[in-house]
Amino acid sequence: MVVPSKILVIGALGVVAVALVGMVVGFGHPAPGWQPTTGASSDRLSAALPAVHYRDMDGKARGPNRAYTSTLATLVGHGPALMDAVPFDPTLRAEAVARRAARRAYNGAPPIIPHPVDANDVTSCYQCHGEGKVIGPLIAPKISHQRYTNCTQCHAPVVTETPGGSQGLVVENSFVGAASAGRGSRAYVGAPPTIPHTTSMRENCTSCHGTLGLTGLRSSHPWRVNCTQCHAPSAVLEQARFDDPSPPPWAGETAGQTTGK
Amino acid sequence: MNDLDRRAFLKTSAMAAAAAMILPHLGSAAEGDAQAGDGIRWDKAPCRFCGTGCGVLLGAKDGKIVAMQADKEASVNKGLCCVKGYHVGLILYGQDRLTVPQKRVDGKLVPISWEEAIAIIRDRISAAPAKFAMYGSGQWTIPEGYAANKFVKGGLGHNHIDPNARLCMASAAAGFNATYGVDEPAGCYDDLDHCTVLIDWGNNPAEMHPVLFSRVMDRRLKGDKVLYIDLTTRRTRSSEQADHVAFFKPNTDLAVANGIAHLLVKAGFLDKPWVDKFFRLRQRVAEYAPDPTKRDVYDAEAIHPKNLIGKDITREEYVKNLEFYTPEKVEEISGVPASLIRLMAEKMADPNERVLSWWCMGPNQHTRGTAMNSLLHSIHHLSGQWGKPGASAFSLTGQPSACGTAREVGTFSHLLPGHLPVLNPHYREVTEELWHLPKGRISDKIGFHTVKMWEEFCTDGGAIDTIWVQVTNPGQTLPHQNKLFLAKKERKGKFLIVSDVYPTATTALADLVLPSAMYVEKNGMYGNAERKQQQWFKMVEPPGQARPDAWQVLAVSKAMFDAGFPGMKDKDGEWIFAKTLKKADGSLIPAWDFAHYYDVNVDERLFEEYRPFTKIKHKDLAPYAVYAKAHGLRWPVVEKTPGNWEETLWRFVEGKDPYVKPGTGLQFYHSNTKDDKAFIWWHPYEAAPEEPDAEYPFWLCTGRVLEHWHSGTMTMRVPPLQRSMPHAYIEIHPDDAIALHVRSGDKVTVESRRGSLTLPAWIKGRGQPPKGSCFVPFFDERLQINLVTKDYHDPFSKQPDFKKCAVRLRKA
Repeated sequence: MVVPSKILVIGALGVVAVALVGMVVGFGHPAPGWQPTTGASSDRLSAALPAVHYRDMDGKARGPNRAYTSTLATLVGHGPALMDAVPFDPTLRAEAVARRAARRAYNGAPPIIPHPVDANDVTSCYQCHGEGKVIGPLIAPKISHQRYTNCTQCHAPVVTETPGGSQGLVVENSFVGAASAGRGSRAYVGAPPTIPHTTSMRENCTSCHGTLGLTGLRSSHPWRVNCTQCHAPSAVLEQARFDDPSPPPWAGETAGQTTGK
Repeated sequence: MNDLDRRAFLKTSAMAAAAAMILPHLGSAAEGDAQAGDGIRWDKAPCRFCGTGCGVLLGAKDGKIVAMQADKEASVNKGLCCVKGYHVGLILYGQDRLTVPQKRVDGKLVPISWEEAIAIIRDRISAAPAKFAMYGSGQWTIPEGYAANKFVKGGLGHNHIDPNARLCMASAAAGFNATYGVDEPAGCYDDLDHCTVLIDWGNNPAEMHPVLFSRVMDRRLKGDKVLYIDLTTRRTRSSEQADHVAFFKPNTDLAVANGIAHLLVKAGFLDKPWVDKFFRLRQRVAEYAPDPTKRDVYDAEAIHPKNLIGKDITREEYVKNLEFYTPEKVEEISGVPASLIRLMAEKMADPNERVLSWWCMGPNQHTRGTAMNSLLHSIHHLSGQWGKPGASAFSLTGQPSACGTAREVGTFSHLLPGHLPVLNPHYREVTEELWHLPKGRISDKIGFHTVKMWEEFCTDGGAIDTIWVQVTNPGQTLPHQNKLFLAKKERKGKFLIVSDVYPTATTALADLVLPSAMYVEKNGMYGNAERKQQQWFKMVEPPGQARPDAWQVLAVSKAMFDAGFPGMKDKDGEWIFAKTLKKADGSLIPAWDFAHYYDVNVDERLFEEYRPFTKIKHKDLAPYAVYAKAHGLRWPVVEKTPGNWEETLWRFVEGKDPYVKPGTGLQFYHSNTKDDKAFIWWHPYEAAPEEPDAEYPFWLCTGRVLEHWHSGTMTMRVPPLQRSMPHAYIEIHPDDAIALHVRSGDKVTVESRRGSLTLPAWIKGRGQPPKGSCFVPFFDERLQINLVTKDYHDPFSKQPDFKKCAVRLRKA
C-alpha cells in the first residue's frame, strides 16, 4: 500500500504546515482589531477592500464569513452519533416547533435564510445544506426536498445587506400563518405515529428528524432509512384538494350549485 | 472573547433581534391537533403576481388566508413556486388597506359613502364623456377588463381605455400581429422541457420568471444537456448558470439577430423547403419617423396598418440587406463576440438541436420593439427552429393577465374583445351585434394610448380631464413621471379617480379613491403568457367596504343609465349590462346593489358573454364551468367530443392545433397575406434615440428584482420579501465607482434630461452592469427611477422604452 501512505504523508505535511503558519501568525502582537470604516456591511460589498496593515493581519477573520470560528479543531463539528439515545422532552419539542415557526410565514412555507447570503452565489447552498453540516455552534440542516438549481427562488434571506441602510417602505402586516398541525396520531400505545404534516417538499425525513435535526424533533431511531414503511402520511393533510369541498355559494349557475337567494 | 468574536456575536444578536421584531408578524398561531386535521379549506388560484401563471393552493381558516402551497397539478409550476408565490396570501393583510371610499377635500382625503363616490363619478363622466379615459391593467381579471371595456367602448362610444400592459406587452403583441397576423405565442412552456439550446434576449429569468427558469435548469440536474446562452446588458443571477454570457450594447439586439440571419443565409437556409412553403420575406414599407419626439409623425405610423404588415421583398433584396451584418461587424456594433454569433447560428442551423429563444421586457420596452420581436420570430422561421417541441420563440409576460385581459379581452385603445381591431368596420359591427347596441355606437377612431392619455391629462386644455385608474399604479410605473404624472399637480380641472387596495404614489394625487377587493377576496380569472386561462373563487371577505372592480364599473354604469345617459342604453333602451344579468325568467339581478352582487356569479355571466368574441380569431375559450374544475387550459380550447374540452399546446402546427388542416404541416391561418404564410422580416439596426454622450455619459437600465413585483405595492407589504430587499439601489461598475469616488452604500445622484434621483450605490451587488452603464430597479415607491426614464416609444406598439436612456452620475 505505497500510494495511500504517500497521500498520508503529504496530508500530514499539510497539517503540520498549516499548524506552523497558524503558530507563527499567532505569535503576532495583539493589535487593535481592524474596524470597518463604513459599517459592517460595506467592507464585503465595496469594490476595493480597505487596505489592512500587515501588522494587523493577525489571523483574525475578515470578509463575509468572519463570524465563523476558523480553527481546524472547531470548524466542523459533528451531530449526535447515530446510535445515541434520544430522550423525549415535551419542552424541547415545543421549543423546536416554535423555532421552526419563527422562520416561516406559515406551516409549510419555505423557511427564510437566517444568515446573509452572497447576492449571486446561489448554488453554494449545497456546500453546507446538501448533506447537512455542523459548523461551530451552528447547524446547517440538510435540505428536506429534492435538489433544485435556484435556491433563492424560494428562500429569501431574513435581512439582505443592501448597502446604504434600510429606507424602504415598512408596513405592518397582520397575516397569521397556519400553525404546525401537531403530533401524529397513534392507533395504540406504542404504535408508530402517522406523519402530522404534508410530505410535499419534506420528502427527506432526516432533514428534521435525523441526527442534525432540532432536539425535540429528532427520531429515536435515525438509523432506519425507510421512514414511510412504518409512518403513514395523513390523508387529511396530504390530500387537501381544491375540488373536494362543495363549491361556494357564489360559484354560479353552472360552475356550482345555484344560489337560491 | 476577542473583538471579532464579540462583534460577530453582537451582529448575530442584532440579526436575531431584528428577526424577533419581524417574526411575530410572521410567526404562526399556536400548534393545532393533527388528528383532527388542520381545519384549513384549500382552494386553487393562479398566483397574483407575474405572467408565469403558477398554480397556487391557498388555505383559508376562520375567514383568513393562513397558508399556501404550490399546486402539484398545475402544468406551469408542477408543485413549485417562487418566494413571492409562497407568500402571496400575505398581500391581503398589510395594515394600511384602503377600506372606505375617500374624496379629496382641501388637499386631504376624507371618507365618503359608496353612494356618494358612485354619484361623483357618474356626474363627472356624464358632464364630459369624451374627456374621460379609463386606465386599466394586465392585473384586471378577465371579467373586470371585459366589463370596463364594454363600459367605455360600448357605453361612452369612444375608445379612450388602455391598460398598463401598453408599458409591458404592446411590442410583443405588435410583433406577433406583424408576423402571424394574430397575437400571442404559438408555443408554450412545454418547450422548456424539450429545448437543447436556450437563448436569453435581454432578460433575467432567474429573478423575473424563476419558476420557468428552474424548470429548464433543473433538467440539467437530471442529466439533460441544455446549452444556455445569456445575451444581456448586465451580469445577473441568470448569467451565473449560463454557458455563455455576452453583454450587448443597449438597442443593438437587432444587429445580433441580423448577424444570425446573415450566417443562416450564408449557410443556404433560404433554399430550405420550409422557407418558400410557409413564409414570405418582408420589410417595412417606409422609414419610420426618425425622431420619436415628434409625436404626431410617430403616432401616425399605427394608422397605417400597411406599415405594420410591411411589403414583400425578393430573396436578393433580403440577402443584400443582411450583407452588412457579418459576425465581425455585429461584434463591432453590439459587443457580442463574433464567435458567439457563429455558435448561435450553428446551433440554430443544426436540425438535431431544439433552440428556444425567450425574452421579456428587453425587446419589448424598446423604440424598435415591434421590429425586434419580429426579428426573433424570423430567425426561428428561417432556421427551421420553429413548430417542434422545444424549438420556438417565446415571449414572456410580466403581468398575470396581460394576455388574458389586455390582449385577448382587447382593453387596448385600438382593440375590441377577442383582439379585434376597432379600425375594422366588420368587427365593430360584430361587437355592436354581440353587445346589442345600435349601429355606429362603437367609435371608428383608435383611442389614446397610455403615454398619449397621460400627456393629454397632464396638459392644460388637454383632451382628457378625468381618468379612472383600476388595478395599477401609474404614479410609479409611467415613464418620465414629471411630465406624465406629477404635472397633474399644477393643472386645473383635472380629476383622478383611483381604485386600489393600498395607498400608492397614484392615490397620492387622486381626487377620489375607491377601496377595491383584491385577489381571492373576489372571484376571478387570469390568462397567462402561454394562452392559459385560470379561474378562482372568492375565498375570504374583503376588508371594510372594499369591493370588486367589476362591481364598481357596473355600479357607475347603472347610475349613469338611471340618470338617462344615452350611451348606457342598448338598442332596446335597456341598460347595456341588462342582458348580462338577466335571470331565466327575464327579471334582472340587481348586481349593481352590492348586497346582491353575489346573488349570481357575475364573473361567469360576464365571461359567458365574452366567450363568443374569442372564437372569431380562434382563441376559443371553454365555458366558465370547465375552468372552475380545471387547473387552467391553453386556448384554443375546443370541445372534441361532447363535454370533453381539449387545450392546444402548439398553434399553427398540424396535429397539435385543431384549426390546422391535415396535410398542411404548418398553417398560419390568420396570415396577413391571406395565404397561410407567416413572415420572415428584415429590419435594420438603428441607434437608440438617446445614447450616452459627453453630457450624459452613462447608460441607465431599469428592471425588477426577484423579491418584488412591479411597483412593490403588494410585495413591499410582505415582511419576508420587504426585509429581504428593503429598498432600491443603483448598480455601478467598480471602475466607474472608483472614478466617481463612490463606495457601496454611498449616495449617488442619477440624472437624465428629464429628472433625477438620489439613491445608494451597490457595487458588485446582485447585478453587475458593464463599465459605462448602471441599473436601478423600479419597485421602490420612495426611490422612483421613473423620474429619470424617457417616454420615447415604439412607433407601432406605442410602448415606451424604459430600458435605456442616457444619464450622468455624481456622488451625492
